[in-house]
Amino acid sequence: MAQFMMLLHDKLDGFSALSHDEMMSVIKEYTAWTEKMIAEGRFLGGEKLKDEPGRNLLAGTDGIETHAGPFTETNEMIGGYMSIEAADYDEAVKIAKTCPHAKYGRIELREIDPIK
Amino acid sequence: MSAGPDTEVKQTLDRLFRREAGRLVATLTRKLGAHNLTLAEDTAQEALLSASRSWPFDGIPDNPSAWLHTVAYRKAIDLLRHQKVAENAMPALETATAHTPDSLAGITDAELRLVFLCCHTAIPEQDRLALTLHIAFGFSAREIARLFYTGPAAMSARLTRAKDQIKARCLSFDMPTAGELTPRLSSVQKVVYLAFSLGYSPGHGSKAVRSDIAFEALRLAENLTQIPETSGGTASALAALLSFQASRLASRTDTADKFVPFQHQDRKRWDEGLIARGFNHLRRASAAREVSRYHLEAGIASLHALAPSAEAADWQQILKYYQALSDMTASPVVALNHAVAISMAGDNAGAITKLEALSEQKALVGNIYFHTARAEILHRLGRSDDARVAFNKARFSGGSDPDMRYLDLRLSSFD
Repeated sequence: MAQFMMLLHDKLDGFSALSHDEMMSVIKEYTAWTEKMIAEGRFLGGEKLKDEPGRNLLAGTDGIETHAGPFTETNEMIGGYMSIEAADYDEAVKIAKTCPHAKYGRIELREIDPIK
Repeated sequence: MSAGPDTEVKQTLDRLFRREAGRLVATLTRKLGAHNLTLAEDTAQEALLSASRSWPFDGIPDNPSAWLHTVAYRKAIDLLRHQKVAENAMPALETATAHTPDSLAGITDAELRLVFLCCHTAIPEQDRLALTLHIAFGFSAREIARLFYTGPAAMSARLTRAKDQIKARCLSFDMPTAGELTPRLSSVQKVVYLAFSLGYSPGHGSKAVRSDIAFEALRLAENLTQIPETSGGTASALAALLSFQASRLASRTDTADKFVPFQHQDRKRWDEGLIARGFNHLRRASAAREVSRYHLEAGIASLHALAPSAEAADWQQILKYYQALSDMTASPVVALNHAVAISMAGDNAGAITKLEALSEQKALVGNIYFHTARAEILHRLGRSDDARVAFNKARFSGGSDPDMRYLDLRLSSFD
C-alpha cells in the first residue's frame, strides 16, 4: 500500500456565505467521510490549518526575509491536509473524488515518497 | 460505496449537535449563574465550532458529549479568568449549586430535567416555550418560528428578548422548588408536544419526518407518566396521543422518502406495539377526572388506529371530538382539521364553507396544510380549476422537500 497526501486548497471566503445550519451540514459531510476512511483503515491522519495567512520565508539579499503571504494563488490557500492509504494513484484518485472537499475546494493529491 | 455508514454518521452528528447545544448551555448556565447566559451560549457555540474544525480531521471522539463539555467549560473558565472574575465567583457558585435542595430528585432523566429547568414561569408562556425548545432541544429560531406562525427574524428577536429578561431579572436556571414544579408541568407538556410535532412534520428541509426527534419527545412524554410528581391523567393522555402518532411515522413516507397523505398510508406499516402502548396510556388517561386537549386528540387518534381504512373510521365520533376540541382551544389549526374531518365524514360542501371562513386567520395564511386541504376538498367537489389554483398556492407556501414533491405530483395530474 502506498501513502498519499491530500492537500486541501480552500477558496478564500468559500464558506463565508453559508448559514450556520448549512455550515454544520458541510462539516457533517467531512466528518462522515473521515469516519468512513477510519472504518476502512485508510485514514492516516490530518490537520486543519488556521484560516489566516501564514509566513513565507525567503532568502533575500540581506539574509532570510519573512513575509506574511503572499500565496501562490491569491484566491485560495491550503486549509488543511489529510493522508490516506491506497494501492496506487488510480485508487487514490477514486477515493479522493469521494471526499467532500473535491466539491467545495481543490484537492492536490501527492504520493508520499517513503525514504528507506 | 454504500451511503449507509455516511448517513449514520450524519444522523449521529445531527442528534449530537442539536441535543448537545442545549445541554451545554444549560449545564454551563447552571455552573456559571444565569447572569452568564450569554457567556454560556457563546462558549457552547465555540465548543461546537472546535468540534467541527477538528472532527473532520480526527474523527468523532469516543465520548463526544464529554469532549464538548470539557472544551466548553474550559473556554468559559478561561474567559472568566480573563475577566478576573473566576477566582472570586467560581467557588461560591459551585458550592451554591451543590447545596441547593433538589426538587427534581425524582426525575433522573437528564433531558427531562433540562426541560423543567428551562420552563421558567417568570417569563411569558410563548417566550418560555420558544426558549425551552431552543435551549433544551436545540431547535433553531427558524424551526420554532413555524410553530408560532411567525418569521425567523421575529423569532430570533423573541428568543433574545426572553434571554435578556432572564439576565435582567437575574432569574436562574437552578432547580425549581417543589412548589414551582406543578406550575411548570403544563408548559413542559406543551414543549414535549411541540417538539414531537417538529419531528412528525419538520416543515422544511429534505426530510418529511425526523423520527429521532419524535421518538425523543415520546420518550419524555412516557417518562412524565412514570414519575409520581409529574404523572396524572393529562400526562397519560399526552403519552397516548404521541404513541398513536408515532405508530404512523414510518408510513408517512414511502420507500423513496416521498410524503404519503394520511388516507393513502399503508396501515399494515403502522407500528402495532406503539398502538398498544397508546391504548394502555389512554386507559389510564380516561380513569382520571380531568379532560385535556390531549385526551380529545388521543381519542381521535385512537379511532383512526382502530379503523381498517381512513374511510371506515368512526367519523361521527371523530367530529364530536373535534367539536369539543374547537370549543376548548379556539385554535384555527384545530378548526382546519375539523373541516377536513367534516369532509371525510361526507360533507364536502360544509367543509369548504368552514375552510373559507378560516382563510383570513393569521395561522393559516400561507399555510401549506390549509391550502392543500382546501385544494383536496375542492377537487372532491369537482371544482378542478379552483383546486388547481389552491394546489398552486400550497406549492408556494413553505414546506419540506417531500411536501413539495407531493404537491408537484398532485399538480401534474391537472395537466
